[in-house]
Amino acid sequence: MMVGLNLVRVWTSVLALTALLVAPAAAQTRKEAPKIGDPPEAMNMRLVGYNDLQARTAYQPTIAKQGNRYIAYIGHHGGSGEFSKPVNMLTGQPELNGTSIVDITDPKAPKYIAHIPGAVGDGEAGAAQMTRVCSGLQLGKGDPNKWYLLRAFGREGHETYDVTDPAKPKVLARILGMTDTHKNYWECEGGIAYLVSAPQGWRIRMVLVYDLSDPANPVKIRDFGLVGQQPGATGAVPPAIHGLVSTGAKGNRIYAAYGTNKGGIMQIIDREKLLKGRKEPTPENLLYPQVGRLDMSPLNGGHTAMPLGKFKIPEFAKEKEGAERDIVMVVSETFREECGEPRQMVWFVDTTVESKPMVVSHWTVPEASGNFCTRGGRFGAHSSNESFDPLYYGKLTFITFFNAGVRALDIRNPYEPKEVGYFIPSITKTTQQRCNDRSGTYRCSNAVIQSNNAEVDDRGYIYIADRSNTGLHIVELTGEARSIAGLPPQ
Amino acid sequence: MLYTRIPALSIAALAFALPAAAQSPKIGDPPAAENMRLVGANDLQARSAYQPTIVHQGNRYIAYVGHHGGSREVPQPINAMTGQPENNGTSILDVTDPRTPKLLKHIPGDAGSGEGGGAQMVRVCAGATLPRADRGKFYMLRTFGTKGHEIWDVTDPANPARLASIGGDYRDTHKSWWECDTGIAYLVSAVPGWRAKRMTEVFDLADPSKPVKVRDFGLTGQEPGSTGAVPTDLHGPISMPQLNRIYFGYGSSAGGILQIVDREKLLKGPKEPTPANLLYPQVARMDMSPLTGAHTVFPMPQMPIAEFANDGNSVRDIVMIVNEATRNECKPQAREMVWFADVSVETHPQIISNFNVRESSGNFCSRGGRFGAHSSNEDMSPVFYKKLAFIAYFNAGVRAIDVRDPFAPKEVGHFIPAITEATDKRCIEVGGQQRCKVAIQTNNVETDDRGFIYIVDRANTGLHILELTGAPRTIAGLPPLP
Repeated sequence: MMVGLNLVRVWTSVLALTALLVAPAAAQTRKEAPKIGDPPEAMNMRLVGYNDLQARTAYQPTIAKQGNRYIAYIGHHGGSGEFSKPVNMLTGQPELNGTSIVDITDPKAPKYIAHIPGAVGDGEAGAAQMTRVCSGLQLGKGDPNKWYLLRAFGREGHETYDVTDPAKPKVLARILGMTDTHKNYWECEGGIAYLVSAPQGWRIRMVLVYDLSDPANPVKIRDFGLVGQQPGATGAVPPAIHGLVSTGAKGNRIYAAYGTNKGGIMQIIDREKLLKGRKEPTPENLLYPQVGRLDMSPLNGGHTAMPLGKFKIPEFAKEKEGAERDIVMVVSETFREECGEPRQMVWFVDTTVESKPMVVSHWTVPEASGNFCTRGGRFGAHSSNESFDPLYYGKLTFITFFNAGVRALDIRNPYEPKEVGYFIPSITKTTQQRCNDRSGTYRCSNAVIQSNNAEVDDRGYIYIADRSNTGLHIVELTGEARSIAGLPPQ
Repeated sequence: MLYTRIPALSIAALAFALPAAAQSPKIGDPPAAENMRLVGANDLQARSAYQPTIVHQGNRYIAYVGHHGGSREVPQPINAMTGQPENNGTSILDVTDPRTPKLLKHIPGDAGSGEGGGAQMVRVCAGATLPRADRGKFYMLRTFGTKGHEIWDVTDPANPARLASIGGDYRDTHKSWWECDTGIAYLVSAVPGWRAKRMTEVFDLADPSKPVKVRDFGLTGQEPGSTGAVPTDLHGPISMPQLNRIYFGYGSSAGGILQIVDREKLLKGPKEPTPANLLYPQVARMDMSPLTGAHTVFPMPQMPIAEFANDGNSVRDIVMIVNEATRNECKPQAREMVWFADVSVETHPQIISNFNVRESSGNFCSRGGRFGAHSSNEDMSPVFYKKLAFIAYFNAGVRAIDVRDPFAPKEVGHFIPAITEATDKRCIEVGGQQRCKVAIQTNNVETDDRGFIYIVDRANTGLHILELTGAPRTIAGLPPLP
């Protein structure tokens, strides 16, 4: 099953050709669902390398620059049916989906070096979908020569690993006994971790704040969530948290997104007050660190809340007030296949007056550009890259859009975001069909790409992971998009 | 008079379809236009103009134009019809033939300059639609300076007769709304005792000669006896009785709030201004970024969104929110612009998009006067409703926006009138000195069911009647021009 390595050469040659063909900015998206053997659909982006990830459904790619190497840690959803325990070719054993570790030092030839099995369970109920990686040097209390992986373990909890030798990960600690884990955040400077979980007593998925500065010895700090989610609360339960992004001790802000695909809420939290405030989950103590809260239209969810920092809005350059704006990007996640819910998309929020955040603009892929509602699977936004590396930060962001692949947005003017590139990988024989019984009868679509999550590295490579078992694609920018990032021409 | 030269100017505008000039226009320069052209004009006796209200009155079209107070230099322009100096008030024009608007009457307003005087707001209803009025008559509701409101019989628009007055001791008035089918009026007032400078007095004006007060209304914290910070002043409401909803915009240029109110609960709920009674009719409240205001909140319900045709919830309820720019030369104020809010789930309105004029397209920040949005047309005639909106943009004139996809509004035309000798200066302080420039200050805009667009100038240039050309004319379904 080392299809990935064998395919690389074929793919790169096909892709080099395709890239030449698509170099002009004209959209190359097809009107009909692609077939096996069709080239990828692309504008200003092209394939560099590929790995099939043993045909495991993939969620979070986390890229770590580990010494002289670049290592990708890819969290997987649980497999299902015939895909529930793919064979790990490194061990020859069928293994539950967990974490794939891939050496991507040479992005043209990604090398699969380890798979850590995850928990039992289909889809989001199993495996180990989330990954974050920090170095001991930054964490403070860890071994300065070591590297550490934090991952979700199914719905049950979280684990830390020593991944100093990424081919031989060693488990260090387990925090179990909960349900419904999700998109954690780990501050590598200082080691504070925000573990998205649903522990006993809480009414819904919330945040466990931990000190993981010594990853072998997790120390709990407190529980946190929206008022109404805490044990003993009554009335309607506010939407579950999806995930959060922290700007660390320096920025002193955490941006939390609640309500993945509906009932979206973006909450701005004072980190210091969260960490040092009173810990008992009373309404007053839960409100104490809250700086601002944006309740979105309940038609829209809050999946990722990514602080984009300060922008000098060119259009406002001559205004004596408000020429510079703080912007948070909120990405909603599409849940339903074949457009069975309101379009989930990307929202730009002006948080210049932090206590009163306001959406100012949005962005979506035009459906008609690829007839995406009828291609099969999900169409709509899912998540963004979360890297703060200066190469792309504040200039370009990459949004996974399920069957519309990954989309590169020019966000230099967040009041008018615009697309400058996209890449929809080719399907392969491992790409799954998407099946549902939405219409009352169980039916399956074509096998279709479902670009799930994306991350970038400081070299400018973009990593996209496919929910529908097609694997990991490493992509680079071309043309106008490349010059926006200040990358040298190829 | 001044406008005998208009046909020449309109030909110039048509011939060159000039984009906005990079430097400040001079007297004699043609208007700047795209897909819009001048049909007719009237100088309104060089009075600073606020609200144009257009009424199809029998066989005629009549324009009622509310004025701000005069300037300190010219507090009482001469009314050529009477030969007398008169405080700015209400101009009444016959616009049946839009090429030759004819001033019929000027009704003086209150003393006081700018928003401190005049009679800036005006609404008109037919007795035929008001429940308890004379069916053959037409009625005008106007503000009287900051002090109160007046109702006039304008059946003969050349000879208006005052019927009733409301208030007289108010601190402020502003952009009132009058439901012509029920007679319920939402008067923007400042009733003594209320903490906000502008709030709502609800009146039953079904019989315009006998106003009956229904109740006072405002945001919690604005009522008499409340404490703490006073929430942002009201700017104005728009009522949709058929939807049982009223949309209120608070905070003209800053601290914007959109409030959606259940009309039935407002009219029939307990009237004492307690916090509980004020909250009772509130369906939703959206606090915007305090950098932006909420001047006009214009409902556009049930809009099919083409992009979402294959998704769930493809029909959305939209409210367009226009902020008002109140400072000259872009300082010191954040850009005031146009916002589109999705109110499909009424309890949780959310902004989805924005519209703005490119400053660099006319160097508008240095042209003089205000640059930025002010208000939209409020007419809901099918010719433009939910297809095109017209936004008054001060020194950038009027802008025609294609709103058919409110997630992606786009400009399809604009018109910046030529300045005249009557156009007044606008000054800012530079190095301790007043530095003045002369520029158009398109203040408010209205449309009629024939598809004419009426814009009025805050800087005394008068009334301009416009029509669409090119692509936006097709969007509106108007026949091609001969």
